[in-house]
Amino acid sequence: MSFHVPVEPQNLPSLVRERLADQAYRTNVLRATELSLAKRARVVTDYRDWENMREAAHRIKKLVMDHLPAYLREFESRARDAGAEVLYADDAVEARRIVVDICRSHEAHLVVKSKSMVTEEIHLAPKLTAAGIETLETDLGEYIVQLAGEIPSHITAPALHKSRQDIGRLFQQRLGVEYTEDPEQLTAIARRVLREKFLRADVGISGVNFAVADTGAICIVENEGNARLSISLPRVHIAVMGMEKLLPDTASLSLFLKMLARSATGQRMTSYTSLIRGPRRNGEQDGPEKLYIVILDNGRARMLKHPELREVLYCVRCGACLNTCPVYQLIGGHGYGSVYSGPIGAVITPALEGWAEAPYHPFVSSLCGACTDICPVKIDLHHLLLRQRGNAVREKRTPSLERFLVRGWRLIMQSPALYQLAGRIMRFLAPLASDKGGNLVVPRWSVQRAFPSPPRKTFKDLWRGKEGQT
Amino acid sequence: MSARERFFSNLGADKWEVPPVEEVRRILAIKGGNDIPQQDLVQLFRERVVGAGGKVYNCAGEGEIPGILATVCREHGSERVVFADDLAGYRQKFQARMQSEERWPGETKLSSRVDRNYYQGRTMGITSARAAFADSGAILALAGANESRMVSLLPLVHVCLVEVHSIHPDLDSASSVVDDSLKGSGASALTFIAGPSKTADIEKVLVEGVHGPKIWVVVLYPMGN
Ligand code: SF4
Repeated sequence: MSFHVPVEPQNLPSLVRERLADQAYRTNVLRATELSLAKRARVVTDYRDWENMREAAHRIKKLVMDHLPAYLREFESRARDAGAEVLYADDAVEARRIVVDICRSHEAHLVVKSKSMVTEEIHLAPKLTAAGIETLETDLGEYIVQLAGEIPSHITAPALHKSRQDIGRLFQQRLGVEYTEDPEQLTAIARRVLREKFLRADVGISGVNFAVADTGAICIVENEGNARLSISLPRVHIAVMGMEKLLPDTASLSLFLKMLARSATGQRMTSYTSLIRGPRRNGEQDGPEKLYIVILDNGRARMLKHPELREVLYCVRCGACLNTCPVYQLIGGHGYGSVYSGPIGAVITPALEGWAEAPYHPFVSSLCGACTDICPVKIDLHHLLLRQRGNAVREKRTPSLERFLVRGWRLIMQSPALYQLAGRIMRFLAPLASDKGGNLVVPRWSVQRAFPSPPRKTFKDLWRGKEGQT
Repeated sequence: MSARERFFSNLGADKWEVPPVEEVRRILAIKGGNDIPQQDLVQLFRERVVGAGGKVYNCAGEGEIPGILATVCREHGSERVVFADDLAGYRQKFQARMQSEERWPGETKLSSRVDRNYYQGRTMGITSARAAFADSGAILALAGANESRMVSLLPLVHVCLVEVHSIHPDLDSASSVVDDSLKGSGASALTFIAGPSKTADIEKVLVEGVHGPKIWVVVLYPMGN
């Protein structure tokens, strides 16, 4: 089974229905998320103080956001000292232009990319390909998703929605290899194809997990080694980062590394955690000749100024809130139609893409709060979801009839007389209309729910009766 | 207005001083100390290396290292063995040993003498750790003048020599090692390595050796005295 998933956040309701109907997809997503959660649970108990670590991480991020221009400047000057070129992009268009220009100026024909959410956010790879530069995703999951013409369905496990059979058939079709569904063999095929590309690539593009202001170093966290290859073999390394990635110093980095790997994959540390400070230096045996760091705004400055939403900038993209979300577990990343999915995606997509593009996102959640409980940087996700629902109403993105009814409801709730009157009317209407096939009073609402038939006597009636008895 | 100026003006340019380092320290203090018992550092490190998918060998002293390397080499049938340049001494002893014991079809090189295309087939890379960390089983690899970035990355087998005295409880207690390695005339790239190259992208099944080493070996020395 293969389906093409374009980025279409505005189609969320129909995407959700599609995902819910796809039993195989749901099975894959559920199995993968449950496994990640179980692995995480085993390693967060390494520390007595996990809760205090979350608090510390939260406050470090708050400190950075409160002083972001200063930290950015410090990082910029240290990175420049080490020979890196630091560039700034206000939005996706500018970021893409900068990267394409760099590639052209170095006459790049082949670009290898390691996994990064921010390059997904700005849709970089398709743009490079359109500019005539062959661009390959090299993280195995991303490679699979790219071959299939899809978008990733999870922050850390982009192809978790695919079964081994899906991938076997995909490799057979697209790479012309013999069908196999053995993960070992499939991985070996990808290793062979991609290694050859790595050895020839002109430019390597990576994301950035953390940027350390005090040293000017960028930190890249991974398990496969494809990021190390991407940033070591080609002549040029371009790192694209959201401006919120900064940390004050190596001591803070230490805390965040402990929390990121545990939250994301249930590991104590990923196989490779690289710190890069500048391009290759004199006398070094290898490494890129040029390092460009592209720092992206793309709506982040706006979020930073927002008194509540700014907290989403603390996010380290661990994906734990996706794994634990009962809604994500049902619909997977593709149910959202956006690059960022799960609770964090439901909060930030309207802010990144605009309400016209993503009017429904905050409503794809149960507000159960599991995301807030698991988030390593203690982002108050479920309250932010609620906030964003309020904003959607203010932006008039909910159906006008619904807004009208809620306004009426508010009026009724404020007056005992109106409340009683409305109660009487409802008690009269509801039994007439409530039946199995749907309810005439609330037709849409009752498609998937049984409308409870109201009791014959109200609480007040009962209370009065009770008084009569004594 | 330049792109940079515009970018910063969008941020609202009010605070230009980074907060004093004490403020960061104060916040980090909230997280509490680490719970790692000092006396069991080596044991913990060993466990965590194995937990991350590595294999550990113990050497009583440096003299045993070439023998251990020979064992690993035989076990994986390595035929191209690349040493980081600062391990030239071990290379000579290893080479002598392999040639005296049996007919070995392989060869050894220093990392500065080979290029990226050399690492094909049954390859093994040998490096030494700048530091190691007990809580995660990670070693700190420092690429630079003495060590190519390739030697711990492109071969099928990566062997890392770790001196037991270089094992720290965790990165918290050794952030100055990292800072010294990066700042000033330090290296442009350092990597914490904790395990072989691995993926779980296909149905969450763990597969090792996806892009880099399939086998990751840590040789601890000097042990036992
Ligand atoms: S919001 Fe929190 S839990 Fe979700 S991805 Fe970001 S850091 Fe992880």
